[in-house]
Amino acid sequence: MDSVPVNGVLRSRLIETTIMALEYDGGVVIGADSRTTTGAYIANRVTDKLTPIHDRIFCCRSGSAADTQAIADVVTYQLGFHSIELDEPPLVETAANLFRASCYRYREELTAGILVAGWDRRKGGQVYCVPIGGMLVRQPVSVGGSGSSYIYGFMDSNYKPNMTKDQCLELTAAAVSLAMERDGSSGGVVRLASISKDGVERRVILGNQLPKYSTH
Amino acid sequence: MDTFCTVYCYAVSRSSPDICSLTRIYYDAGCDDLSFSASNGVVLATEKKQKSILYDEQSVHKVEPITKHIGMVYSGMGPDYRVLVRRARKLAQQYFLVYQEPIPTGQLVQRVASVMQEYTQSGGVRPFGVSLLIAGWDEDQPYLFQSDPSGAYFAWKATAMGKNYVNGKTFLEKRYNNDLELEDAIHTAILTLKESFEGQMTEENIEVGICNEAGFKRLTPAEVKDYLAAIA
Repeated sequence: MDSVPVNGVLRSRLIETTIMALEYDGGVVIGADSRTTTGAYIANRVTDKLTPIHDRIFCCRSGSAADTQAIADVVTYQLGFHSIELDEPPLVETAANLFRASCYRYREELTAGILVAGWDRRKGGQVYCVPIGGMLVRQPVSVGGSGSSYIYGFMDSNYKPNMTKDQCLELTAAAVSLAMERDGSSGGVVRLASISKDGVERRVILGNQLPKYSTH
Repeated sequence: MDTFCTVYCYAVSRSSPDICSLTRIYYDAGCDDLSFSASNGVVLATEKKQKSILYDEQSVHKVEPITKHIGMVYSGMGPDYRVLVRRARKLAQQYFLVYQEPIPTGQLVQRVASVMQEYTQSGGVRPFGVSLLIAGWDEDQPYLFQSDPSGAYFAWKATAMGKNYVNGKTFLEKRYNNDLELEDAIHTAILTLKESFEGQMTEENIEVGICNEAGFKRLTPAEVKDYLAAIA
């Protein structure tokens, strides 16, 4: 997290974050680190950046903590209302579009990079990327936050289509760990979640259980 | 002065006799419905007679969910009901946005009733021609409320509304006790509905909703059929 003194007050940010989301056949796997900073101070070392929006739809938050929480709350409202009017579970694409609508309309005031991931009956597991500025694109694999820069190569070389859920979980844990190792602003624990038609499974990998890569 | 009086009277007179006659209207023309609070849940049951067999019964519902844990049913004018359902859903979401907590049933009822009251005191509108029954579950307790066109609301253990509400209430008074379980409550609710039902009661012309710790649910026609079979 960065500190941006505004009127002399430091704001909590999540920019130095590592978040990612992968699609697999039957669902999605999402992962994030757990560090929130104001400047150099780690305000929360066990942050939960994986936020439920609906029963089978989550978002991964990077950017300003306040901005992303506020947007997520508003989208939860909008999607909850929409879903109960329709009398059926909402589509992931709908949730992603609601995020995009807020992020684009208020692009000048917000700093929010969000990954929307979930499962619905129509298209199965889906990952949508809504980066800063308010673009929307669906990607089978998406990484975000400052820590993501360090793992683009790792993802490009290690992601293969049609992986199983467990392979995805392993890959996500490995990638987030690597990013946390190199990015000063990512750290803490690795939070994972997998979403499928059967529901959501959440997991935490503590610091001492993280896969180790450095040999020195 | 005259003009003012006329205008004022016009605005008022549009509502006041209407409130009374609306009351009569919904009691006369409305369908029967009733609801029941059991020890571990609430049941809402209503008849849904359509004017023609050509109607697609499953496209329009009387029993509607408002949130995961609150549902409602009405007696009166369908279109007015739709407006209130939408309003209630928005109010519930708004509450969650502010308080990060599912709206307590009583709070929702208060807010919906406020809306209904607004329409008895504003110019150019008429009161809602519906009486609502709102069922919810929070903090391990079942709740049942009624909300009238005037904006008055009441909590009930069991109640009936509509054409034959007098007989319905009498029937319920005899059969209600605090220890009834949800299953028995559903059974009793359907029996009460049958008392004033004209013609054959099938899963297509009644609707049943239940609310317990698992949340609010409108029973599917198949599930209703099972309960009907039990009373046949």
